[in-house]
Amino acid sequence: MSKKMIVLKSSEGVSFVVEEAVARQSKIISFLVEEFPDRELPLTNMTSEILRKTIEYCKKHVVEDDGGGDSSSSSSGDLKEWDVKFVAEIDQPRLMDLLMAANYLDIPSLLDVTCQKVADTIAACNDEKEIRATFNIENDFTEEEVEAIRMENQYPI
Amino acid sequence: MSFSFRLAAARDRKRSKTVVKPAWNLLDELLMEIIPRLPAKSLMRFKCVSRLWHSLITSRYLTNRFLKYSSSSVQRSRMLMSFVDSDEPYKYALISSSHDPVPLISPFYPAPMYDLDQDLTMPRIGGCFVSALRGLLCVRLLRSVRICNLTTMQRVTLPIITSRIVPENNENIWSYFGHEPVHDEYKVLSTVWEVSEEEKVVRSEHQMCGHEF
Repeated sequence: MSKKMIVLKSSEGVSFVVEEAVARQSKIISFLVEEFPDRELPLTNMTSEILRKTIEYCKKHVVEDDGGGDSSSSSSGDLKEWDVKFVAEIDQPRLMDLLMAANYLDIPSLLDVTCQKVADTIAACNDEKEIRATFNIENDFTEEEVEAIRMENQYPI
Repeated sequence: MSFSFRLAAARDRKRSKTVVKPAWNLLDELLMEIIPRLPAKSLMRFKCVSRLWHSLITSRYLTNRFLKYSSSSVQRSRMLMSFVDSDEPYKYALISSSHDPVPLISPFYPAPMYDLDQDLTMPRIGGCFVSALRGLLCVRLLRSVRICNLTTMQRVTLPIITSRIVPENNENIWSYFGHEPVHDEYKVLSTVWEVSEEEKVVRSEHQMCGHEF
């Protein structure tokens, strides 16, 4: 039986042909495929690179879901390991793009692993200055306010 | 959540130059997803990052989200314990689990183990222990009841317990602290009482205070 394929198009206009089951892990694509069958779906705010990564993730997860059947603990453990490796290999700016892609396409499991990775990055920062520098956040507190929060943190009651 | 999905393929073909915004600009809604995944114990030190972070960390939405996450993931969870001297509720100690589980050292203890720190017992913690639940601590000092969120170190002082029948210096006060899940409110019930020897009666007054965390 030939599998149904759909076409996704990146912001650069590059077409990606993927199995429908793979793409359907995105709730948005799943919805669009039903509403507009047999049309290519332009993802105007995703670069080819990020789209390729997203598809790679979806492919891996769809294979595991099919093959595993009742998804034994070892295969779900392997998948988890694969997820960790998957996000570990991505550099920080791209991780952010992937996180936004997961949010945009509504792929809950990908959103979960990318969010966790960002949270780990934040937790690894030594202080708030490092977090601001890493994430490009402007410090809109005055010195006094920061001091007040520090005091609050020190004495709970 | 809004999605700006463009479907008209032919029409939009030329507009496909838009690229995802520069990386590392955390969108607010994504920050709401990320912050509950941070380790509980270090959450309070992220309050200083910016006003947005501060308001998110101390919001009720996140307090509840955080409870959900820490109970579903062993790694992120944090155990809080209180020891109270039942005769003297002014004497109590708060203890929290260490950030990461201790590596397994013995096959006889297959569950993750935690070190316990006494880091929550701060100097000059005043008051009589009322109760601790859902990561919150409630203490009463004379007629003032205070609640502290031990994760974010937020605290509130409830209105002074007043009484029409019992004088100010009466210290016969019982307080109870609970969570009401329907409206997601925390409530404190305080009872002021006295025994009148001449009349052989017990008189009491109740006062209820609610607060959203």
